[in-house]
Formats: sequence, C-alpha cells, structure tokens
Amino acid sequence: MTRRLLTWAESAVLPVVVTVLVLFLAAPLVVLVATAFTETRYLAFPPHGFTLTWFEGVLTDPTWRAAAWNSLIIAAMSVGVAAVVGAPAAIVLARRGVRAASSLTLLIMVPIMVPSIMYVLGLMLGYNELDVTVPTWGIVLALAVLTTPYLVRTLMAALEQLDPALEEAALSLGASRLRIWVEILLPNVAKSFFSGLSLAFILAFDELVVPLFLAGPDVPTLPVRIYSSVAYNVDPSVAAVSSLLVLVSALVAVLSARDNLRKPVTRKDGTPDGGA
Amino acid sequence: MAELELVGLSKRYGRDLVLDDVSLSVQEGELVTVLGQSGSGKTTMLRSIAGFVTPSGGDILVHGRSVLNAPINQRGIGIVFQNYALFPHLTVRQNVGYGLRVRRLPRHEIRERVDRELERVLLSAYADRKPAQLSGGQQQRVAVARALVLRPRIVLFDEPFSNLDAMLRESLRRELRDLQKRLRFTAMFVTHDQREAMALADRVAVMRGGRLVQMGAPTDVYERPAHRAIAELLGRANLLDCQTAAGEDGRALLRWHGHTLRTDDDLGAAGDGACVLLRPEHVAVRPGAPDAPAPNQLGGVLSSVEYHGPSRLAVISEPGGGTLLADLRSGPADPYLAPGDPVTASWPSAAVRVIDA
Repeated sequence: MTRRLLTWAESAVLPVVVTVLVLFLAAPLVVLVATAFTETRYLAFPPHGFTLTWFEGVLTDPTWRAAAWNSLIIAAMSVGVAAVVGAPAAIVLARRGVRAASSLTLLIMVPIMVPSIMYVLGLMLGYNELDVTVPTWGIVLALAVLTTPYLVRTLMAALEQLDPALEEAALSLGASRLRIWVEILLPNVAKSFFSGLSLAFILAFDELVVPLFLAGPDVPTLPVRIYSSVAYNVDPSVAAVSSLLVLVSALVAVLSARDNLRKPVTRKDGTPDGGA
Repeated sequence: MAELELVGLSKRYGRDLVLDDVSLSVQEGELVTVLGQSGSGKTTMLRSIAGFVTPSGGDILVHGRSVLNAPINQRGIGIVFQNYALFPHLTVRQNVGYGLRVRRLPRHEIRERVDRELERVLLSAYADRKPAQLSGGQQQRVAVARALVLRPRIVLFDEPFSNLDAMLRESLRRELRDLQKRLRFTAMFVTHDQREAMALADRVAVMRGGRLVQMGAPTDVYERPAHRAIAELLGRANLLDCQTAAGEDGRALLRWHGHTLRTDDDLGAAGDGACVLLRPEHVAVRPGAPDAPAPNQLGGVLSSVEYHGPSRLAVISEPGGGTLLADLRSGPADPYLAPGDPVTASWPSAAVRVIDA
C-alpha cells in the first residue's frame, strides 16, 4: 500500500519537478542563448534572423578577453588556495575522535550561511583599514573563503565513507601514515576531490558580488563586465558572453559529475564461485 | 612451541576492565575461534594482539617472543578484517603485493611470491581484477592471500562474515575452513555467532565480561559447558535447578519439581542443590500422559510448537510450573502434536549434565 502510494506520488511529483526546472532554469537560458544570435542591435526575443557577429565580436574584443582571463586566473587561484587550506582541514575533520570536529566543521560552513553581500561589505571595510592595495589577491582570498566550504564538505563526505579498516589494513601490512594517505586514502577520494574542486571553480568563476565590490572596474571579471554592460549599454554581446559562460560552467559541471553519476559496480551477491 | 600465547592479558579503559587476565595459547596449524557477545572483550583481545590496542597488563608472545613493543607489522601477524578491507582502487595482484612493496622487496621477488600466493588461493585468473569485480568468496581469498604472503605466524580474523546473510556466511565459512586445512596456517577467528564458532574451530575460546571462561574442542564446550551462562551462549539449553537426594541404590538422585532425574555424572561435590543442563535435542516426546512415574521422565502439556523444517521446538509445561524445551527431529510420519495436548517427555541419564551454576 505504502509502496503504491509512493509510486503514485512519484509519478505525480516528477512532472511537476521537471516542469518547474524547465520553466525557471532552462527557459531563461534558452531566451538568453537565442537572443545572442539576433541580427538586431538590441536584445530581441525571438531573435530576428541568425548571425554569429556577436560571438565573433565578443571573442575578438580585448576587454571581453581580458575579463575572461581575469575570471579564469582569479577562479583558478582561489580554488588553489581553497584546496591548500580545505584539503588538510577536511582530512583532519573527517578523522574519528578529533575534538570539537563538529563545531569546527560548522565554523568552516559559516561563509555559505552568511549572505555574501554582508561578508563582502565587512571585507571592504577590513581591506580599507589594512590598506590592502592588491585587489586581485583580495578577491582571490575572499573567493577562497567562500568556496572552501564546498570543497571541505565533499571531501569530508568522501573520507567518511571510506572503511576505517582500510587504514588499519595498510598499517598491518607495514605502510607508514604518509604512505597510507598517498597510496590508499587519497586515491579513493580523488574523484570527490576533483568534483569539489570543479564546484568551487564554477562558484568562483561565476561570482559577481565579491569582485564587483572589492575591485570594481580595476579588475573586471567576466560577471563584473557583463554587469556593467547591462547597466550601461545593452547589446546582444552580453547575451553572447553569457551563453559562453553558461557553456563553460555546464562543461565543468558535466565533467565533474560524470564519474559520480555512474553507479559503482560492486558485486555484493557473492554467489559461490567455482574458483579459478 | 605455541604460535600465539597470551599471558594474563588485561586492558582497562578508565574504570572499565574490558579484558581481565586472559591467558590462552594457539598451537601451530590450529584454528581457534573466540566466541563472545559484544562487550565480552573479544574484539579488544584481537586488537591487542594485532597491535591496534596497547594492553594495560600481561604479555603477548608470538612463537615464544614478546611482541608487546613490536610495531604492528613486525609481530608476525596477518589480519583479515571485517568486510575484508581490500584496497578498492588496486587490483588483486596489487592488493596481495602491497605488504611486499612496502617492504621494498625486489620486483621479481614480489611478482613471484604474489603469483605463488594467488595460485594457492586459486585466484591466478583474477589477478588483474579490482575487488569490486569479485564475489564474496573470492574477496575472502584475496584478503587471506594478502595476509599470508607476508608469511605470518598467525592470521587473525575480525568477524569477517558479520555483515553477510546466513546462506553466504555458511558457504564462506566452509570455504575458509577448507582453505585453512589445505594451507595449514594458524588462525584465530573472532565471532559472536555460536554456530560459526563451533563449525570452524579446532578449539573454541568462550569470552564473557572480559574473561576467558572456557576453552576447548567445540563438542566439549557444547556438551560440557563450565558454567550455565556458557550453556546458554552455545545453543538452546534447559537449565534445571535441582535438589539432590539419596537414592535407594545408593546413587544420588536429582529432584526437579517433584520429578526424579538420574545422571551418569558424579554428584560428589554437588551439595544440596545442583544445576543440570539438559539439551533440548536430547529430550524425546511422545503423545499422551506417562503410564507410571519413572526417573528421567515427566508428563506435561505441550504449550507451543515451533516448526523449523528439519526439527520442531516444543515447549512443555509440567504441572509443577516448570517448562522444558524439546527439539524434535522431524520424521516422515510424525505424530500430530498440537498445543494443549498431554505429552510425555523422557531422556537418557547420559544427557543429564551437572554443571556449575
């Protein structure tokens, strides 16, 4: 009975979920991508005609290219910082019997709970006070703080899933602690670590508020450049850039999700076999 | 010389004495199972021998040498873990060779020894598979090979079957027993499953409350439990609190709820009362009330019958308020017994075992 009720609920809910996803997520993207191909000088949907001019313009325009480069460098650097800080943190926090591990984990999660605008305002005041004049590093560190929680969470979850006996087995075979980490534990969480990195990269790459407030026009990242062109002169270049941005994010997401989506091939049935 | 010897081994966690003065020895080629419920200290004992736990007192000797201060990998001990703990990202060959690689043995020697070990456990054809691509039995053999390739004095098994279903356990158990007999390695196997403990063992060590309470061949421990708690730990048991009385022929008698029990055991030191173990499978039941009172027989009413297929477990209530369990082997033409029927239960005097309360 419960089972039937569940299936019924599933079959009723699924179309609703799909519809909502399509309407609120996919539809705006479709509009955006479509307008990037319009022949008009203004944003038009449905697009009038078909042209790749806007893409060509964006890809050859030095300011757009500089913005893309900025975004790439800043995202990569902040993910690097997040990895250097987050990976050891996750390794320590995932160990059983670490005192105050849960409160420390909560502390690391704070950046995703605090509205980023508040965090950034605080940072602005702080940077002003400290007279930090290298805006790039300011942005990189701020983004690292914001993305580290995601990295720590995915890595911790993966480490906690590992059988604690793996470590003891390696110990009993004579491996040192360092060896166990490098040869046994980390290879088994590499995929999760990579998807955590990708997630952090996308978040850093797409982030608007942090670079906008901390650097403004000094270091225009792609989202900042898009934001200012929307504010000052709207033409289909914005749509073209945004389409490319969506494409890049989607690619990274697919790459990182590819391994996680595939079901692990574990045989638990253990049918008696005839030996070799 | 014993391959493994524990001398007064103790472990204290704060105020809790989880391992209390345990002494035992395991001979070469022997498979000893350690049976106990959770909290009996069996896991602490195993982890002390392995080196994951530092004992508070006593000594651990492997082949006559104390290993208390030896690092985990230099104790001459191999371990097969719960769920086997095979390295999922490594192939069978790499798993088995891991300990040798850590020891920096020359490549060709590693290859040789791994190949020979895989041959011994009949897994040569699976050398390049990952653990996830193997059946439960094959995984078990990889785990055993990974331990044996380092030529340990003794292999410890930490409840390797505890998360598996009953059928699979049974087949893995048989496979492990065959493997151990064929390769003749010395082993200690920790479990909370009494059937498993008895089926695998040359000798069973029964642990309770941190102490080793009895050690012996499975039949000894089952037939002659040293204590009523052990009798209950190992299978179903009727534990009857009897009074002793002098019989007409000079032999001592036991009285239970007005029924007379005769035993082949010596009652010399029993005093006024004695605890009697009567295994349910030694009790015969026939329909109808007894014709005349006789020793080792009682009349009662069947209060329930549980059908198990090969056997039926009958609960008999006798008029004095006592209950008796009888495990009846199923036959092709069993008399129909229903709850409420009057029945007669009887048993041979050899089945009446006087044990320590």
